[in-house]
Amino acid sequence: MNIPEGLNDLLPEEVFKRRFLENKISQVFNKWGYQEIITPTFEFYEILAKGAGSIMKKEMIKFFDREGNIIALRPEMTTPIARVTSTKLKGEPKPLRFYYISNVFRYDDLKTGNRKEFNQAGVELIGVNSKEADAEVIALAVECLKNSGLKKFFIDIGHINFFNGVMESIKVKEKRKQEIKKAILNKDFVLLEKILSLEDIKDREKEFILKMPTLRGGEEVLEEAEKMIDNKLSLSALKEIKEIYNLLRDYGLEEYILIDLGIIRNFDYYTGIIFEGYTDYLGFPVCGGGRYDNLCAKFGKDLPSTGFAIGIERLATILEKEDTNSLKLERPDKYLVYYQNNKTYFKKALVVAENLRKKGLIVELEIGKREYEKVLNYARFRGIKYILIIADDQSGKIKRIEVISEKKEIINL
Amino acid sequence: MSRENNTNYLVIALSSGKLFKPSIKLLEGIGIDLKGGKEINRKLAFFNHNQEIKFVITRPKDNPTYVECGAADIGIVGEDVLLEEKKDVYRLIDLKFGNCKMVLAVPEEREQEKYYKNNGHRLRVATKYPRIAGDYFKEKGIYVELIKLYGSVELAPQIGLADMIVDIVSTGRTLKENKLIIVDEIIPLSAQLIVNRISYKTKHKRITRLLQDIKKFVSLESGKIAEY
Repeated sequence: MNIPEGLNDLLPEEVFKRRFLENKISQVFNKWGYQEIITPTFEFYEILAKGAGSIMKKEMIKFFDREGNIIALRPEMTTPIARVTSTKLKGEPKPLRFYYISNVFRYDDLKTGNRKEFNQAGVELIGVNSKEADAEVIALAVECLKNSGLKKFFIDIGHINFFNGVMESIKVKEKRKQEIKKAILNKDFVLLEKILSLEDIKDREKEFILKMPTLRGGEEVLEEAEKMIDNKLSLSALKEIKEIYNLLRDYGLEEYILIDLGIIRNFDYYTGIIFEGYTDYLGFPVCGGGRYDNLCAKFGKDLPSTGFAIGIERLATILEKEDTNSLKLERPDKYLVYYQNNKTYFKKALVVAENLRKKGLIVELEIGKREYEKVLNYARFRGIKYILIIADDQSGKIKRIEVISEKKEIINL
Repeated sequence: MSRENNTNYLVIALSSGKLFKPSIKLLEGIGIDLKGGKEINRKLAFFNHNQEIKFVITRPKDNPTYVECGAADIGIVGEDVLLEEKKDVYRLIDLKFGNCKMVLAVPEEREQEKYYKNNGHRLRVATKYPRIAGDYFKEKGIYVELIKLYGSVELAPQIGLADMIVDIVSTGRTLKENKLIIVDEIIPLSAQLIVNRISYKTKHKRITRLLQDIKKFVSLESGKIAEY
């Protein structure tokens, strides 16, 4: 009895860790005034496609409904939320702050693990195009990662218009320009060098394009880049990065922030600042996001927006690599109440169980009518700490057995 | 944390097979002591603790997977694998060794000028590289049936499994022995240096220094060849 490749059943241990992480993150979202939103798992393909580039369109999992419409499972949450906001909530006072913790679906067969369903926690801050809005979502991303228990990580910030400005300013044929763009998006600098050597581009520009992926570090990167470019679009992008960097310094987060002018993100909807978070422990970013000012307009209401998403599975992987104990979570002690299969003790067993549950402990009732030895084995397997033997004792004293040591003691309940 | 799992170590993935020896030569050429690769031959992982480098030896096809996931920071891999596997990694240097080319070859007796005509039958092409071959024919506007094989592709036309093959050649001897003739050169290939996208950030200084050394070495070496 199989399930389709790329999907997973999550067993209780994994679910427990997942929910723990999700809670840690949603606590922060809530405190910052973000409200949870849930959208349908699948929608019309043409709606989801409005926020998807060519790769994402291919990666969407699609099927037909009874009327013959093409339906797709959501590949990310930003587009559905943009749809809701621009239609049902278009009259609401701005800003709108939403968060989600959702599963998303993609044919991702080229990537590791061939995972088709994964989970994201993220926010969308809609209706404001200030630098303060961008700084807020970046600061919030830092806060979430911190609260999850992650110790060492960085967020790199860049700007989509830095790259766009450079591309616009170089004087080559449009076809070549597309080739250059594609090589950079594919991170193929061998091909890029080849194309640039064919084309009659100024040495200074050539050098700069090849240098772009290495323009990374603290504030000094901005000055370095400023000296090398003279197009307006890139310069205004640098200015914006600087302003946002300064705001993040006001948040006291500069130790987590680096500037990376070579960031490339594979979503077509970004229009401004872009960022991604990463650690030493994973070869993929753990979170990513940025400004998308044109997406909502595609649904009829022009709303500047910014947001990010954290990959829950990736975060869990990183946390356990950074510290093997970080998700070995403390749980309340587990009890098993054993009424010795004697009907007259049953009601008393229920009262005992209820009292313990009120104290916050986890209590199971033995309902299998098993003998004590079997109950003991079961408890051992299940990680239950104590068995309570209910007997005909009116004093309120109960025999408690510690499962591992089989040590007996009498306790008052 | 054990030394072996220390994230300060730079992990370099080497491809086994014909790129292995020139990869060792390259790394030794820039001052990384590998003892001629002798010790690694038997083990799949090897350390140079002085320089804080770990080497892993991968099957050529797996190499970019190790790098994409960050299990290795850097990989030395054949361009054929890179084109076929399409992984999300930085391709930073053409190492200019392991030179060969991807070609389309047909049996000698076939009409070479009109190799793509097949009396109304769909052409069958045997290859280890269905993506590269598929892209090539798509661009040409020729519909073909691709037959994926894992080795000895030259055999396919001889026994009627395919009409032609797309494969790698370096000397061309194997093709000749199997009475095949090249009708088109699809793409020249050589060893490439790839880097994980996050490692390129987190270990930027070390990787940049290494890249500079390698670039210098590669241009010296390719200069040597030109002199002959």
